Amino acid sequence: MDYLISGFGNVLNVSTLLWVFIGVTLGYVLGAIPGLGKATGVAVSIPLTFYLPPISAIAMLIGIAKGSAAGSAVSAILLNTPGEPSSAPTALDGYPLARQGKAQKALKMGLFASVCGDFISTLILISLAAPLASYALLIGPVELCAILLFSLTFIGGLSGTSLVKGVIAGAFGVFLATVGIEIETFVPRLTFGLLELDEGISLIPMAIGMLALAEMIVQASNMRALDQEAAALRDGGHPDDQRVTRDEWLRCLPVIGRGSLIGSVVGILPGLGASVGSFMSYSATVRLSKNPGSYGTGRIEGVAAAESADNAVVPASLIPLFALGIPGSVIAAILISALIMHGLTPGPLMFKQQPQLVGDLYASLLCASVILLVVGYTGQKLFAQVVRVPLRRVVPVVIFLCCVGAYMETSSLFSIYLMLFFTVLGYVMRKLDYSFITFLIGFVIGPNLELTFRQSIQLLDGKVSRLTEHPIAVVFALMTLATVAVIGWAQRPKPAAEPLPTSR
Amino acid sequence: MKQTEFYSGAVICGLALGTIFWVIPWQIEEVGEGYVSPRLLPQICMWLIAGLCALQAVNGLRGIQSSGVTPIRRAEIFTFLKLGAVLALSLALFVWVAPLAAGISLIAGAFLVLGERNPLVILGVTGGLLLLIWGVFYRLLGTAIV
Repeated sequence: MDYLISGFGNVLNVSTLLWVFIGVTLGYVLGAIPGLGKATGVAVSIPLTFYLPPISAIAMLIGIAKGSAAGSAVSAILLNTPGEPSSAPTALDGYPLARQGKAQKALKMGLFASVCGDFISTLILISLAAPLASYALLIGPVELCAILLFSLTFIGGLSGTSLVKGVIAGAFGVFLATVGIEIETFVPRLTFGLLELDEGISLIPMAIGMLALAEMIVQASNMRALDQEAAALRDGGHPDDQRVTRDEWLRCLPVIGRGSLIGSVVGILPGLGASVGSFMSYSATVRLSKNPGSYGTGRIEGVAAAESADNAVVPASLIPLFALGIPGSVIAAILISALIMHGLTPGPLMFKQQPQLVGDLYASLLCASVILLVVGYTGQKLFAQVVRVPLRRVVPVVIFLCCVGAYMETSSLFSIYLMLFFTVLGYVMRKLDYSFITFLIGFVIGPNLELTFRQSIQLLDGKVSRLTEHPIAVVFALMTLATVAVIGWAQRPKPAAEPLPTSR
Repeated sequence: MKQTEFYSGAVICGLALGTIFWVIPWQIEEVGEGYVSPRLLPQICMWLIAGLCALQAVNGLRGIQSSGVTPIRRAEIFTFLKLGAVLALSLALFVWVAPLAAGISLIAGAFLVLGERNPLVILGVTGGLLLLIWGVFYRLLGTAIV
């Protein structure tokens, strides 16, 4: 708590708050553009923070993540095209509200629910991460290897529609993480004689290519339909259409509370992601409603349920990252490289080795929540205009920023080539339904997985039977097998239906 | 038979086997006793991928397809080719002419191939972005783009 209080002292200055403000605003705009989610926003912006002080840099990136999580509701409500998949349930009621001329009301409720969900989840992060981390310190390499393997399997099973494809993507991510000079023997691996690959493949051009550029190509090919939706928007004339009334507030508060808790629980579990949280919260609200049939026609509670859970997932997904060093989501995976770059290695030791930096981080998370409210509320009408900008004018700017972002990392064209390679890979993976989320997480945890795997082989003297000396590892190994069995059963292949015989 | 599942599974399985028997031995040296082989994890990953892709190909043969597969639309291929050509031209200009030329061709080229025809927008955004990047690199950071 002392570190948190002094963290506020370090964060509450014009410079840091300005960077949080810039981050939130940038995130809001990126979130409002269909296809550009929080992960993309953070990936593209990491190079921009190279020259900032650590706290300003991390605070700005957190601001982008929070801003874009909230901003994705804008395009969901106004265009029926979610900025991110997790905002899809927001569109179910938000878009009908917009069609009734109540877009401003829906946008305001979306913002309030986002901020509440985000703030509650941040408080849960602050109260849970450190106690969990103290237990994590008791974990050795064998246990950590088993936990990482479990996490990757769990994420692989849940982040796509197929466990097989999820594990393939995760294994490919781990494989690419082995590129570069091996740290124990100093043998170069899979570098093909390219000196640029000696230090391995950089996450930033990879993430920019897979997340931003690949998505831009998909969006650009669909821009005509999106631009027509944007052109058809109109606001209603009645004052109540523009604001959230007292009665609506009273109806939405329990929904927001429930959504925040659902989002936080979903965020803590690695791999589930914000989409699961927002859909769970929305369906819980529909089930508990006295009039479930009215959802999907413009109920403000639907927007509140989806947005509160969607935004609660972001801070909560940092709990496994901070407590165990395991990224539970793609945003956490991308934030790892930024945190390490700025001197904070996520994991249980950070609470012991850099408690002040953690306090600063928590303070900036809370400040970002408040700034999110201010920026979202004051700039709402302006952000709503972002979705009206034709995509043919957005895509070139984003492509240029992607190239600059990739180039800035190494100041060499090699990063651009890498980015283009992963753009193609990301596009193909999207089309063939290989989870690029699992791929990126596999890539990020790959070095740690290999290190703990090697240490485990040495500690166990190469004998699997000695695994019984590590009960926690046995538990996680069994959980991995159970995950494969349960998810594999749930997703078991169902043969395509035979065509009905036609009578002649 | 579900062709997408079968062919993608078979092709990736073939690539994984090629990596195991050809790329890994070629690209990763073996080390002496006392060390864990640097080939171990890449080989485990590739065996896992080969096995699962074979399973996917078999599922494809049996007419089973994962629900997330989406067809590649003609519009996407055209967009891919158009933007790819702009990027290739910009890279060539970066290497053989100058970063400024590359920047102009990237932004203005992308505008043109995506259908933007308003000269004010094309010139204004191109100029504004390049000015911004010039300010960040040459003034703020003091590093030249070469």
